[in-house]
Amino acid sequence: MDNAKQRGRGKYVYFSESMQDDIREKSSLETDLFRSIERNEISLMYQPQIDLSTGQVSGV
Amino acid sequence: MRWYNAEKSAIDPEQFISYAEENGFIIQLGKWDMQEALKQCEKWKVEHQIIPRIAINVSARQLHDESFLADVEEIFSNFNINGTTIEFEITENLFLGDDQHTLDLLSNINCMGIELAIDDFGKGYSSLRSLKKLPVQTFKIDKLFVKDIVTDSDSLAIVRAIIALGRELNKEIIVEGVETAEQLDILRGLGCHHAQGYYIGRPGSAQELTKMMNSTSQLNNARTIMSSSIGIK
Repeated sequence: MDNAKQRGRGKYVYFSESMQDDIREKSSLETDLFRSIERNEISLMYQPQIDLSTGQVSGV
Repeated sequence: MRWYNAEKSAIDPEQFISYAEENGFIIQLGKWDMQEALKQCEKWKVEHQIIPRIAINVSARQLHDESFLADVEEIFSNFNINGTTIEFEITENLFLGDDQHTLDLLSNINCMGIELAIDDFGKGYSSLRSLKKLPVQTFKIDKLFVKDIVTDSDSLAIVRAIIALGRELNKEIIVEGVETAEQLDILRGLGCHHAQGYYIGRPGSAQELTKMMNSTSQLNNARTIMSSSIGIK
């Protein structure tokens, strides 16, 4: 449906195998995502910022 | 933020965060993110590390969740992070329309001692009128403009103008996406306050960042701390 909408008004697309796969993939990813925190799979990344007048790390 | 799934290894953060936005999981993810960042901040404090300003991304969906302020208050009450600066990074698209509710919400966040930054500044919609009213302390200029700053005079003109505007409005200016020494020199010359990007350092673990901070001199670090503003109450 989204795919047809993206192509513009009055267009139609056939529902294909690959679209079915995309939906399955997304749904399994979403299920995994809901469990990601309790499974300790998420971690924070820190990207440094420097103060341009001192050259030192001033933020992340 | 990184997600290492057992079967699928590393998953593109943009992809999983956009899914989380769609299905509402971003609320839980956001709370977890905040807790982890504050936990790290408290750890640095215990270890007597110099603590940089810590920026946390907060999406429109999180901000508009009715229990957002109460959740933030509760999370912050669990950590001893006095004297450190925490900043919420929000995007310009939050200010579409002239929404008093959003302005009040942002003021309340400021009142809790949390600073606000507009992330990806210049990429989305920002009316000059809304800029005047917004209780934000920092503009984070989008990497899109910095990319061509050396070769394209229009990009340079835009960055120069944003920096001048931000400075006139007493905002802190951070530029994202700095990849070369040449870009950094230009930005310094334009009066930009802070810079971020691969040239300065890629995203890394808390340990990696601690190492980077410790390799700099204590005297200069003290000056850096002096330059950051309001702390958490």
